[in-house]
Amino acid sequence: MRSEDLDREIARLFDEERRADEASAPALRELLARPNSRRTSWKRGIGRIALATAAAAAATAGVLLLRPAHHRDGGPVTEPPAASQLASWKAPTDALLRTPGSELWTRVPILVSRSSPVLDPAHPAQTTKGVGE
Amino acid sequence: MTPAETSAEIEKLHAAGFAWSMACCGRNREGAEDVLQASYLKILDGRARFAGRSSFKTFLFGVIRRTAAEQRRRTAIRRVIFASAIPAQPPAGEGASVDRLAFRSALARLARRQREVLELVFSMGMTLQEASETLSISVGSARVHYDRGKKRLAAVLKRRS
Repeated sequence: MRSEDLDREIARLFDEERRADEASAPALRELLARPNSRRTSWKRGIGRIALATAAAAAATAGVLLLRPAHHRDGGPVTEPPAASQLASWKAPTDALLRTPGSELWTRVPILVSRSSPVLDPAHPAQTTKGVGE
Repeated sequence: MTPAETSAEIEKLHAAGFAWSMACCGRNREGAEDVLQASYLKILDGRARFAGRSSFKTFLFGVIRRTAAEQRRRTAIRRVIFASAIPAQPPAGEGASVDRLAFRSALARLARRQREVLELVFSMGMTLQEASETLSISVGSARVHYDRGKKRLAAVLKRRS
């Protein structure tokens, strides 16, 4: 096929396509009278998003409301057996740590007696700095 | 241009505008009608104004092309958000001869710009200057798209025949 023939053939095919499209064109007034599809589809999209958001919010609220209720009146809170065993475990060598005088480390020592003038606000202790040296 | 004159121009170019809209929407009739309606409303509402720098046909076809591009972007975004809700719409093929279906398939293989330039020149009878104004590209670019598109289309058609 020569170049001119090819051009003519392409032009013919395009022309055929255009004629078919033009013949099937909807009436102008009818097209303009239709509801604006873009706006309606946009509204539909917004509606879908709002619905999905509301459903997600309701599901989240449900989960949040049901969880504390379960803990409030869900009966005794039972610990798993392994946890209680671990909590009550004592080392077998604990007895070796009990030595004479070890109670001194577990009590708060009393450094001054109640009758000491240091604790009496009426007789404050005299400073001894530089005195009798 | 007065609103009455604008309406008269639209009415005169309506059939050709629909054919161009079909070309911009990949022969999807429903999409082409939506694009054409949106384009007319843009012009009649004053959102797209004819400045008189080119012919009204070039202006109208430019508005249709931009509106089709906007719709493609919107559809792509909606397809990502509502992946399963929006099925891809096949191009209208009813009533088309085997010859025309083969031609459409060959056209679909071209790059969008090449296809657009060829449609405007061969189908709409525009010059390369007018086609470049419609597509908002330089005449040089339009010529390159025209040459490459025609060669590629010819190669595909030759292979088929």
